[in-house]
This record gives sequence, structure tokens and C-alpha cells, in this order.
Amino acid sequence: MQDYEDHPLRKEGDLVLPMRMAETRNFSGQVGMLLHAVFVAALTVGIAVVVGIELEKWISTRGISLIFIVAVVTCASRFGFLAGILSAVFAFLALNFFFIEPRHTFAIADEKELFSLGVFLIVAAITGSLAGRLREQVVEANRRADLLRILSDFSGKLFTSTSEVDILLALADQSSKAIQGPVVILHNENDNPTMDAMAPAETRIEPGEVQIAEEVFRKGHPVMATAPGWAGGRFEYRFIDKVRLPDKVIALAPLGGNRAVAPDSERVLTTLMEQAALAVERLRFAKATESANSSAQEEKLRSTLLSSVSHDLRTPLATILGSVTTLRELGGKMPKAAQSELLAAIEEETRRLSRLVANLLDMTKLQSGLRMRKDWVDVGDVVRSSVAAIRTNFPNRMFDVKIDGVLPPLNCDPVLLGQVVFNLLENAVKFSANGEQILVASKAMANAIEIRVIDRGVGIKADALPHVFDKFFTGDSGSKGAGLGLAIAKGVVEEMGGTIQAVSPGTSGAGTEMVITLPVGASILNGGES
Amino acid sequence: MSKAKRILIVDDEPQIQRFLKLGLEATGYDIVLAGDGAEALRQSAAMVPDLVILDLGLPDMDGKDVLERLRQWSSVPVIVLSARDDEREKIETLDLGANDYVAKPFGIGELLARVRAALRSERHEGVETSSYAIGPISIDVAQHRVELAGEVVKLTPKEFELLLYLVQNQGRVLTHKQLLAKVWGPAHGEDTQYLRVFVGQLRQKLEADPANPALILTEPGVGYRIAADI
Repeated sequence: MQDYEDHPLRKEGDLVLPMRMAETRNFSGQVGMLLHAVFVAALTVGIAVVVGIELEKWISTRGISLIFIVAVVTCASRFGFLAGILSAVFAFLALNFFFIEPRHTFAIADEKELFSLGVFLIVAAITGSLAGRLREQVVEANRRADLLRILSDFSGKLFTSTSEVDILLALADQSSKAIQGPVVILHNENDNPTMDAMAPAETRIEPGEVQIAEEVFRKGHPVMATAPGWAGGRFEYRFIDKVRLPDKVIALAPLGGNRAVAPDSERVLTTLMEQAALAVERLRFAKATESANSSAQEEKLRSTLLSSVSHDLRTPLATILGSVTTLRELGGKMPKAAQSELLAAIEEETRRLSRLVANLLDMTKLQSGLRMRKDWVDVGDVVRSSVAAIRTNFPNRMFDVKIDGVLPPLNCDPVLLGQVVFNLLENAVKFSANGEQILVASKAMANAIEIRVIDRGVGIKADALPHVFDKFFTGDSGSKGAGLGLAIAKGVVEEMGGTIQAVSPGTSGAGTEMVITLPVGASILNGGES
Repeated sequence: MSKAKRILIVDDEPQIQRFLKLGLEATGYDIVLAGDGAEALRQSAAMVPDLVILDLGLPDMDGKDVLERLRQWSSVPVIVLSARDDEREKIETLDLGANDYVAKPFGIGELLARVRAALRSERHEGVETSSYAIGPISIDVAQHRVELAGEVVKLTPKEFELLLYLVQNQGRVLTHKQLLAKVWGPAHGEDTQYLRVFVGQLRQKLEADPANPALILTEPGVGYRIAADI
């Protein structure tokens, strides 16, 4: 993912400096740097000599010395202080050798020339060193800007991070840029240091290094890296934040001779770790709050269930007990019509109770994973038997069934599907006036069968429409049912691979249409065609 | 017998309305029905019932609000139909001025007993009675004298006050708070341990079997009542 050749600090040759500075910490690095400076200084001055010889016919010796000044400044500003000073000395010698009489010796014939040559050396040295320092300051400023960019990139990433892994990945990425070396973030899992994030992606704690990581976790102390050639590891281990994030350790392997994090990178690294620790802590708090919220919500749901179910149980029980005791204690004083009215009430309420119990059982079954007893079913039969059942419960209501054409057989659980249609019919009864007809329509679609339960009742308010299938949702219609019927319907239909939808107002412009769509198995369709 | 007592039944469940109406009518009461809170308040004003049976779960407003608004202008006895497991709600409604409650589900006999008790206490209201006789117990209010089957029973002044208040409301549940406020003063509304002690002492002195009280009945979590029929 991250490639050091593409590293922003390495894109231009002149930005290699920090790397080179790190290298100067050992001797060979210093020699290499000196040779490089000698080479570029000599080359620049050599070019100046060639140019000077070419132009000598037209300009004076003073003009030529200016060409050399230009060469020194260029070299210094391009390659830094050392190259600047060296090129000044080379320029002085070259000027003397090639352009001051007697030529091709370092001897000086004219004492006046000696003076002006001395002035040239001073001027060249001063401008060279100034330009060189300036160059180095520019490099330093660029480096600082890069570190700042790392910080701001990191803030940006934190802002969009929604998981701990995201944050740790961003931390590994950016600290790797800051220290210019591989970074691994670890946590301790059953005494095994386990990697959370690393940068570059292929970075690993080698088997030989694992022991050190284990020791870090065991002792709870940070460990420095050891210099190359010595026993130990290339990684330096630190705790990201012992207070906020005590479980995470960052392993750093800065490139460079002594494997130490440079002071300016150190500041950035500290800030990165602080911010990451804060972000992870915030995320963990948020998660804890969320889980507290959701368990409170669950609690609320449970108490809603309890109160609605207890109301649903209590009302029929109260009616039954009240009616029975009335009949027993006062039946003798009552007209025959009143007595049979009480008996009818007992019957109705007993049915209501058994429906509620069935619904509760269904709900429990749905929640603990439903076992379907599938069979090839004529949907028309299922619909007609549900309508017959609802008629016995609500003898005063008008129901109609409309089946379009021939429905293909459906492989499903007929009892559960019947229960779904019954629940929808019961809802339709609840939410429409006595005189209004309730219609169940079914037809074959491409690859599916549609069942619609249509009423002309009060309909569902637009803001309640998305919630009608929620468990225990009862709307604000004053209905005190447990709000389970539609939840069960949805559960069953989805178990059958179908969908259920509430449309309100219906196609007639009023009431509600509940639309069930059940897919017809492909094999049966093909069978029908052949 | 004087003209039939009129009872307003406030319940949104038609099935419950039906058996209450049939049962109470068969007992000789005149019945008015209301299906929600607004209707209940309208009927209370228009029909001037002698008693209101109020279900707390109404579609348009909380039964407690109905009670509170009713109490602003009427002292008609109110019996609340409540859930059995909600002690706090029972206490709240009693403290709001309900005369009694019956927990669902209930037999018609239980309700009729409460109705009679509530109507009787209504009859006593405003009438200073100088003596009471309840089963084997007789109380002379002026002389602070209590007899059990003809024998004088010595009661402390607080015990006497407590007994008198309970007896004056025979058959009706009185909440801990109501009893404490009446006997010890409103500042002691929460000191239920006083009540436990004094009720215990009264039972020792008056009950045939103090371990199974038949006179002073405990309504768990709510309060005490003197048995309606003794």
C-alpha cells in the first residue's frame, strides 16, 4: 500500500536530506556526503571554467570572476552549505589557474591581482555559505511543513474514522510517514502480541523479534531499539497512552543509522499518539453509551410487551369472570336475552384469548427460529379458510374473496400463511366500520403470487406507515392490542422468502391495503410449462 | 325502597360494559354508560350518578385525569377498576379521591360489595354518628369507649382514632398516607411503621385470631380496610 520510493519526502532529490542527515550519524555517511559535495562543487566550477574560457574574448577578468560567483551561489543554493564553501575555494583556485597571468600556474604575477583575487575568495565564501544555509533552512521548513501535513491528514482521518481499526490504521500510516520507517501497532491477546495495524502493509514483527514485544507487554515498560549489529531488535516499543489506551503498543523502526526517532518527528509522533488515544477512548465511550441505550430500549420493549399483553389477557379474563359470576349470582333475576348475551360474551372473549395465546406462541416460535412445514398449497384454499375463520369470529362483518384465474401451487406452510391472512383480516376488522366490506384478493404475477387484504377503514397515517410492522407498534388509534399481528405476519412472510407491504390509502383512495407477495418456486413454474 | 341508585359505568371495552350493565341492572341499579373520559365527565354532570365505576385505561385520557377533574366539582363515590399488579396506581387513585378500587379480573359479588360499601359511606357523609356497631364491636364516640362482645377494651387515644377512622369508612380501603395523615398529621404521611405497630396492637385487642385478621384487613402495598360484611 505504501511504498517508500513514492514517499512524499523522497519525491525530489533535494528532499532526501533528512534521510542523509540521519546517515551522517555514521562515518561512512559523512565521507559519502563530503565526496558528493566535492563532486558537485568541482562540476559546477568546471562548467564555470568552460563558460569563462568561451567568453574571455568579450569580457574582462572581473566579468569572469562574476561568472564564478554565479556558479558558487548556484551550487550552494542547490546543494547546501558544504558544497557552497567548497565551490568557493575551487572557484578561487580555478580563477587563479585559468585566468590570472601567468596562466596554468597558481603563481600570481601582479600584486593588484592578488588583492582582487583575495576579495573574490571572501565574497565567494560569504555568498556561498549564505546561500547554502538558506538552502538548508528551506529544506528544514519543507520538512516541518510535511510533518504538519501528516498531523492535519491524521486529524482528517480521525474525523471520518468510525472504528478502532480505522483509527489505528491511520495512526500506523501517519507515524510511519513521520518517522520514515515501518510501524506496527500491537495488543496483547492471551500473552501473544497481536498486530492491529501496520504501515507499510507488509511490515511484520519477525519471529526473532516477538520475544521483545512479549516482554514489553509483560513488564509494561517501553523498550528502545538497538543499533544495527548489536543484539536486539530494530523496533522501538512504546505504549501509545498508558492511561487512555493501556492495551495498545506501537513499535517503531526509524530508518537510519542509530534507529532513533529524530526530535522533530518525535513531537509529531507524540501528538499523533495522543490524538489517536483520545479518538479511540471517545469511540469506546460512544460504544458503551450505545449499548447502554440499546439495552434500555430492549427493557422498554419488554415492558411494553408486558403491559400490552397483560391488558390483552386481562380484558377477556375480566369479561369472562365477570359474566360467569353475574350469571351464577344474578342469572335468576335476569331476562333470558340478557343471559344469552352474557354467554355470547364469554364465548367471544374465550376465542379472543386463544387467538392472543396463539399469536404469542407464534411470535416466540418466530424468534427462536421458525420450523416450516412446507407443502404444495393452493393459496385460494388458504385464503378461503382464513376468511371462514374470521367470519365465525366476526359474524356481523362482510367479507369477500376474489381469486383471479388459476393460481400456481405454492410451496409453503399452509397453517402459518393462513394465520398471516387471518391477522391481516383481524386488523382490517379493527380499523374499519361495521358496514364496510373487507376484501381478500389474490392473483398470479410473474414468478409470484400476490395476496391483498383490502379494507375501507381509517387507513394508516403516513408517519406511522413505516412502523406498522414493528413489534408492539400499535399506532395512536387508541387500540390497545399487543401490536403483534403485523409483526408476526412480516416474520412469517419473510421466512417464506416473500414481502409484505402496507399501502394507505389503498387504490380506492381510502382505507388500507396489505400486499403480500410470495415467490413461486422456479421448478414448479417450469413444471407447469412443460 | 327509595328510587333506584344511578351508577355511571366508564369503560371502553364493550364486553366489560355489557356484563357490568346486565349484572348491576339485575341487582336493581339504574345504569348509565360512558366509553371514554370526556363522555364520563359529561354524563357525571348531566345524569348526576350516585356512584361512578371508572376503568383507568381509557382511549382519550388517563382515568386518573378523569378522577382529578371530577373531584374538582363532585364528591360522588368512585370505584376504580385497576390492574391487579399495579399497587402504585391504586394508591395514586385513592389519594386522588377514589373511594375504592377493584382489581381485574373480579367476580360480580366482589364488585357489588364494594358498590354497597361506597353507597353506604356516601349516606353517612356529613352525618355525625355518635356510636358504631360492627359485628361484636361497638364504639361510643363521645366517651372514647370500645366494647368487644360487651367487654370494655382499653385503647390508647391513637389506637382509638385509628379504629374510628377505619370504622367510619367500613368496607372502603384507606391508604397508608390517608390513615397517617388523619391520625398522626400530614407530616407523618410516610411513617408506615407507626401504622404497622398500631394496626398490630388493634388486632391483638380486637381480633378473635390476630394472626388471621377478619376485621382489619390488609390491602398489600396499599392500606387497610374494615371488612365490609362482618
